[in-house]
Amino acid sequence: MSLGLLLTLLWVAAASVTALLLRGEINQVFDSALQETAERLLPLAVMDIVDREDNAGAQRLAALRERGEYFTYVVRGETGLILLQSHRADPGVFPPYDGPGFRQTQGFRIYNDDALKGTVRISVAEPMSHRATVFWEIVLALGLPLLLVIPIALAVIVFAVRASLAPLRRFRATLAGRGSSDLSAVPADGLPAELKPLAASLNGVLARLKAAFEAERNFASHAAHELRTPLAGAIAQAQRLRGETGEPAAAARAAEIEATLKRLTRLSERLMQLARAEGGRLRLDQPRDLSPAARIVTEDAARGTPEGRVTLRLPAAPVFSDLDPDAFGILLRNLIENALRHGEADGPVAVTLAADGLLTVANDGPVVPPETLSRLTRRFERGGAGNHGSGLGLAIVAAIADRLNSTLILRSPATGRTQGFEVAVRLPAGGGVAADRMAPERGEARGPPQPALTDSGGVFMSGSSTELKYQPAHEELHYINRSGWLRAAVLGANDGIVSVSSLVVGVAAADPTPQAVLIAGFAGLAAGAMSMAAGEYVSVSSQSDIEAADIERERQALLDTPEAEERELAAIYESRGLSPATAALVARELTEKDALGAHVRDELGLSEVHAANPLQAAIASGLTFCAAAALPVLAAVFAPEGRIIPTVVVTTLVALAGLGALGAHAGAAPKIPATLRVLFWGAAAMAITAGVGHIFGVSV
Amino acid sequence: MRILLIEDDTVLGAAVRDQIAAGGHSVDWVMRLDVARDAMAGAAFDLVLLDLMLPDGLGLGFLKALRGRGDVTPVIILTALDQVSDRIGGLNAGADDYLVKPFDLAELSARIGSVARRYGGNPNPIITHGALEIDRAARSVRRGGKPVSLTAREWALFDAFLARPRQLLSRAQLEEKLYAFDAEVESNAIEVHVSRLRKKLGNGVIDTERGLGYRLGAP
Repeated sequence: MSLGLLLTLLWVAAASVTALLLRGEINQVFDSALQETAERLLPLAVMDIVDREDNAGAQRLAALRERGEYFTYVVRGETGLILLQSHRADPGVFPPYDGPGFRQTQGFRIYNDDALKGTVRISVAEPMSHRATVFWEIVLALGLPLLLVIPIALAVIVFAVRASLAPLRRFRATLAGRGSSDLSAVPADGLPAELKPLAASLNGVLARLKAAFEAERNFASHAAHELRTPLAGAIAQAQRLRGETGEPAAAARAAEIEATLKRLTRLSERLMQLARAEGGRLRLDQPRDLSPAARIVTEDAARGTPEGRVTLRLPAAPVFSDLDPDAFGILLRNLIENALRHGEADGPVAVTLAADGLLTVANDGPVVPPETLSRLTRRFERGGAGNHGSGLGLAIVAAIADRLNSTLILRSPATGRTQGFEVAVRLPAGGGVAADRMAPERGEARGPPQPALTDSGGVFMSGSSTELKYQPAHEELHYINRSGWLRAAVLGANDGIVSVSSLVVGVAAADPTPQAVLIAGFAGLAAGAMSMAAGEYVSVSSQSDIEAADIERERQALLDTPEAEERELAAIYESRGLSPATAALVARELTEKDALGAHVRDELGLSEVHAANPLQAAIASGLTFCAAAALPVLAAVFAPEGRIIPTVVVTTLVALAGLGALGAHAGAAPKIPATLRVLFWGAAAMAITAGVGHIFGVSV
Repeated sequence: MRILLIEDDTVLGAAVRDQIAAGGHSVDWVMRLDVARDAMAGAAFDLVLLDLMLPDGLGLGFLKALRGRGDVTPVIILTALDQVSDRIGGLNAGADDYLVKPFDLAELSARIGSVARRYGGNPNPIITHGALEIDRAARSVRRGGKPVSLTAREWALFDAFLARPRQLLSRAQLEEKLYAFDAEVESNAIEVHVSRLRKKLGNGVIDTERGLGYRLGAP
């Protein structure tokens, strides 16, 4: 919109400059007419007076026919006596004669001249109102169409820009409306051709991010596997040794080895979980029910404890969440294990998962002092000297809660009891809208501690937000998308201004009559606009014809020689720096998913299928050219006679400077060099055509 | 019971094999899925212990193929994959239990017993048979209130009868349950163990069907 405003201002400024020049020129023309009238009249008057017999009284010339006249005159003698006057002349208008030349009085322009050594003096007067009327008639005649054209042109520009940016807005809305953990590709259908590569690279980044998360996760689980199997073997052997040996000393030693190995196992497992909690992916693209995972983990953690010590309460309805069930498993297992380890021996542990995603694990145990509570989430911290744990459990839980932008709430005593310890975490729940619903929950949780918490004497701890969050790239996207269409607009405008103004200047240099210049200007405008539109149409449509033919050839090749095509694709990826094995894998997977799409993209280098609509491109470029070329033509129309070249040159240079600065501003580039560059080339173009016109004009 | 152990780690595999054998069961230990397939084709196993990451493939595919054939042999997964999603995947593929490495060998034995009892139709480990009070989970027998001590082999044989109280078991079937493929079996080993059981638990505890085999006696 600011572009439209700026264009309008530019237009208005150019029109004002032209009007000012016009006014000066009109005055000159009228002055010279005034002077000429006086000079023509004077000899006639002298002859008339000298021939006259009686020297008495003024003679009023009768009009040939009744008509209004603009010029009135008086011829006076040396004494100021009126010798002759036009039939409507009002002697009061004329001040006493004070020598030849122009005089300006209230409301009149007067030219004085004399003959016969100053004895016969003529004064011709023209009312200023006449000049003003003429001036305003011209301004209106020229300005009214302009007033009509500018809004239409602006409306067309706005409409064209809007229409071509609508897919972009949809794209942005899709992007902004996604969950923070949704890493699936964004559909890029219908985007303008210039932006398709942007969407493709964004999707590329998303895919790489997703792949990196997957790889990280696979690494963690692979590392866990690699460590676990030898540890399991060693522990099993130690147990066998203990069972088989008859010597109590050896059995005790085997038991020690076994205990140490188990501690080592737990520690490595926790480290892996912590790495997973801090680095891995926590959110899925699709929400799943957490209840089965809760059941499995609780059952698993309760194994080896007396029946009924660990109880699980679940809502009747499924608890849908996009939280990764593995992350949930790590979180819950650590909470239960901690509750079992640090609670009273054989005291109950209650696990509750509420329908809104609030997970609570509470045990029976001595009340934990508040200062200990606040230290508990620190890594490697243990609840007390007598407890055997790696100390990582709560740190892992805190890391996961932190990355979920959720709050880990520790309470002691537990809610509704006089003792015990309780940990509560709010998990994202509520299906596909989880990400949207996180916001108010987060705000609520980050506010001051709720009364319920302070009442129960608990300590409120809030995690800081470190979640890797995808935000639509507002600023960056803006500049790039602007420079796309604006570059085209500035280019078209520049082209229109420079070519038509050069044409006008060239023709004016050869033949300065207004008709020739205006005809040349309008013809140039029409021809240029048509040529731009036709050129754009042909270029875009032939490009899309070629693309369509290429795609068709590729489609046929995929049908005829699929193996060769896959090898070809793999070779392309290899040449881009992938290892042969990875390239083969990528080629295989892409071929299975969308073979044609992969070939079109990576072999032909086309983004998706078709580019712009040729007709749309043609109309857009034709209109831009028209709008810009109108400027020098209008300047030529407005230009006073004989001053076409300077008027057009000045208007053009002002417009070019504005355009250069605008283009630079839109692309956030330095303004002065861009402006100077545009000015220099515009001036050069006009100078050269003016020179050519001049040479031809002289020789003709 | 005759158990097939599919595990590629030699240290762990050896310990598990010894543990199961010490419980009186016969174990066939293989390290690859193709060998496991051959073994399953050649003999009837009462239980399979399955590792998931094997040199020639994933145990989950093996399990799915097994269940796809309609084979209902109980399967316990022994694996280093501890994620909840892995576990859900394993159970959905048709595993009867899922044990994450490292595990206690005693727990493994308990789970083997529990899965086997579930398949025998009586998950309750406490059985009263005439004057005998039997706890299959604790592997203890009381005769008239007094504890009787059985060797691992004797117990395994007795447990085979308890698992199928009304079924006639041939000598070959019993040998299979007690001895692995490569074990040296004395020709009269089963008769010897049966007569020892009769001596300890009473003559009527096992009936002989001449020329056919043995079955659990009426209480």
